[in-house]
Amino acid sequence: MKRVFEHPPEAATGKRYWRSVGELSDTPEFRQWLEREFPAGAAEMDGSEVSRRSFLKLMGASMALAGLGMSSCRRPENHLLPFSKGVEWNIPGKALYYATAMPRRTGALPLVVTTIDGRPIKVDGNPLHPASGGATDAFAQASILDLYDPARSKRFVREGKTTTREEFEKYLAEIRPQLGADGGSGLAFLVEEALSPTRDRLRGQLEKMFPRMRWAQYEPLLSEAQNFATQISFGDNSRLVPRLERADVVVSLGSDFLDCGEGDIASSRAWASRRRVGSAKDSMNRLYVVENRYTLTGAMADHRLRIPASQIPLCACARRQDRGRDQRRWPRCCDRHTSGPAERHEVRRAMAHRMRQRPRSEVGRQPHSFGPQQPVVVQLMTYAMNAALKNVGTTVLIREFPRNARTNSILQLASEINAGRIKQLFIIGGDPVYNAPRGLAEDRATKQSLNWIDLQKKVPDVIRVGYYEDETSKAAKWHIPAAHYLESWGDALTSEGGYVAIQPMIMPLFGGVSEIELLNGILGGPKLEGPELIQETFRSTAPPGDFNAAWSQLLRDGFATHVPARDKPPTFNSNAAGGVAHNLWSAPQNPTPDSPEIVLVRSYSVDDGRYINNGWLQEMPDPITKLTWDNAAVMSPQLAKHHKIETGDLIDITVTETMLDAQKNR
Amino acid sequence: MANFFPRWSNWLPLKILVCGGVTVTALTAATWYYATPKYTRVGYEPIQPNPFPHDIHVQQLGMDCRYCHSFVDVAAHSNLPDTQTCMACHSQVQKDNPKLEPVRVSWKTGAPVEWVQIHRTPDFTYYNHAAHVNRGISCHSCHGQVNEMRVVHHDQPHSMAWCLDCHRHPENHLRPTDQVYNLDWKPGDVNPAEFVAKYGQPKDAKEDFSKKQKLTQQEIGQTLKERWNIQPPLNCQGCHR
Repeated sequence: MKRVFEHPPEAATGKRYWRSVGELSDTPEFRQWLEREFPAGAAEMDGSEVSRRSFLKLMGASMALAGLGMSSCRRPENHLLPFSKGVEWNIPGKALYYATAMPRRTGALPLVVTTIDGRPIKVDGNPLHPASGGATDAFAQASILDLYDPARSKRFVREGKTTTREEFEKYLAEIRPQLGADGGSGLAFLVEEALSPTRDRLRGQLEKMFPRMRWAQYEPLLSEAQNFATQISFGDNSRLVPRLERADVVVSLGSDFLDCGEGDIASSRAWASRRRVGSAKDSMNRLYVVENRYTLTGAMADHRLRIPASQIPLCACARRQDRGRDQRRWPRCCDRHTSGPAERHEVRRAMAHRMRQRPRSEVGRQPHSFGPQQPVVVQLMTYAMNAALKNVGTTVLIREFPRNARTNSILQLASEINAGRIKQLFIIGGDPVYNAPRGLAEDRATKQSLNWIDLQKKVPDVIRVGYYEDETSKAAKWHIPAAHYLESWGDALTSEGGYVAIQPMIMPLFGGVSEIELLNGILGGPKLEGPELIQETFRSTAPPGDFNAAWSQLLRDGFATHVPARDKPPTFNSNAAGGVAHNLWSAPQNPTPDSPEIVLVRSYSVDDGRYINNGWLQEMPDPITKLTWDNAAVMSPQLAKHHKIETGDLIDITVTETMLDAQKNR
Repeated sequence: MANFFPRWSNWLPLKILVCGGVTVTALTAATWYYATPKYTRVGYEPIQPNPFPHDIHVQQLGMDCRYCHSFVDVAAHSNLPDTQTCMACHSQVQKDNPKLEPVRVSWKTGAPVEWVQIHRTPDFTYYNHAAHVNRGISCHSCHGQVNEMRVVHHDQPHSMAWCLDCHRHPENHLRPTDQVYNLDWKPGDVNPAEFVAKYGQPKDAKEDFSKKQKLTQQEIGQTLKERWNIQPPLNCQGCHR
């Protein structure tokens, strides 16, 4: 007999019980949702030819029949599959640890990778190296999943057809003499930002071989602003390295330095080291954050000022006026905003107060800005403040980083392509069709603005090395599968300039090619599987003692200590910086509800989109909004009210011809 | 009133009782005998893709177990040799033997030789080879006289009761560590004087072992058990971790 279980009927009087807030409020939307989620009679499978009952009968009968042959009574035959060729040092069931590093755009992150049976399974920080101290970030942790991603590129493609590595090598050998004939004037490279001494060395060789070739670097999340400002203020080949463990006061202008997403774990660690009070003598640092949205750094701030991103220059300006002496050369911008809402004023006063408490000569205050998205003016003003506070050389070091002056931006490359000068374009990594800025160049005949895809189609031979077969690959003549960093030899510098080795854990799973291998191939060097190219670079750093011993030490520790990080004298070129700032200064417009400012920011989970296929990272909630597998347009409640938008609405945002579908979260 | 039940039904309850009793006993006995590893596992001798004769390699050529099972004393898992190990000799010895074809194919293609598994420890049981062989439990105790096997078969039941037998009385199997891989070793081979000089003897031994003509397995085992302070785990999580 069929028994129907039902919830007890609701009492007409007395207490009413409910199972969710929705049920309690009992709105029409909730009833609609309830009907959609649990349609009446779904359990009976009404309307279909087979009822639920007969379906279960049939399934039960077939299960019973399947057992008639007694097939499950046999002893299952298992196989043991030893390696055909043993893996060196491998002991079955025991972990092997290798030191390596994950190359990042701002500097490599030193790692120790656990391998079992010759397969890497876990990534951890290298505890011996100060840039990691045993810690990693989410991207490093999740990078192991990318290695085994079934969607990664597994084949060589020529004009849409699968081909082989040999064919590609033949092609390279064919074009090499053509390139050499005119000094490589038709040759161009578009690569990602990376601090790799071996790549730089091979690039130098290429430039010797093809003196007229072009080399462009592009990262959607690294604007040239910071680099430009640093070169003006402190000279060529310089880079700022913060020493937050020495700072008593840290002021961040739109910089989310506590988010380790850029692989800068050392900064977080250094900052946190001054939050720990062990004895009465220890003092804590103080963090002031000026930002437009909630970030991890903002969440840790002692004083947080929320202002529109476009107003941050004003704030920088005001801070600078508090401290700077040579007022004349710098733009006089902005007493306007000091009379803003009370909270701004308060934070500003608090900052000023803290700064005045200590004698000026004391080491350890650091207004600093790493926000790579900040415009040049903010960068310059921040440097000026640091210089005025005598932070440069104490809490901010100016480190010498070799930078090839012939590096172009994607904009320069675009104009070269537009002029029809590029015949062979190597795109190594990145995904410019997806993430290059719109309207890079203008067609001369039609005066239409050209996007990267249009430009790429103008180049006869585009050779793309990519980890996925993506939009850029589809518009390229050649697609070469890229090797994962756990599959390739390499070397890199950390963000503070330390020399680290990248060693493979496993042979390329799908025959991928590393950037260094490719450059070597273009140079016509012999095909190498081992670390010869890296060894050559390492030899040029003049390791002390026996080379083989030093090399083994490098592979064991993952880094070399004999390569010195040279600091430059802390001289700030105030005249040049002030001049540039003066010329570039324009008072920002205040955003209004009808013309709000739109800030595109890095995702905490998929970075600039490169980890879009990584399920672990997608699954990781955004630390602020808690969103997973999603993104949202975050706006203030007031703006949402003004535009009559509610949480969960789908909205279209038009930014100069660019449509963004964004689910909005308040 | 007529008899409700016919006459023959008088004995029926007794018959049912007896038959039922016999059936239950037979079923229990059959299960006891046929459904335990002693019957289901011992003697299992699958056909291997490549007939590796242990007797020739060990008896005639004098190879040590660890030449092929090279990590048995350092890892929990005792490995099968990789093709490279086979080819170290067979690239020169017997290099055209048709029986070695699977090995040569594996060497050429890189695909592994698909050996059929004989001894299978369930996934819920943790077993560490290294911990056993480094403390005087010979291969022989669990795998039998492998050195004499032309084709390897399952020699011991490997049931939980069998494990516990040894864990309760390890002295029945312990032997000097240098004899662990000597599958022909007999307790009688031990020179009592040398043994006592090296390992001593149990505290409560009634007689001086070094004066004895021969030592028994129990005497050797007890000595080593005390000497090495062997206390095999008898709690569940010793193996079912």
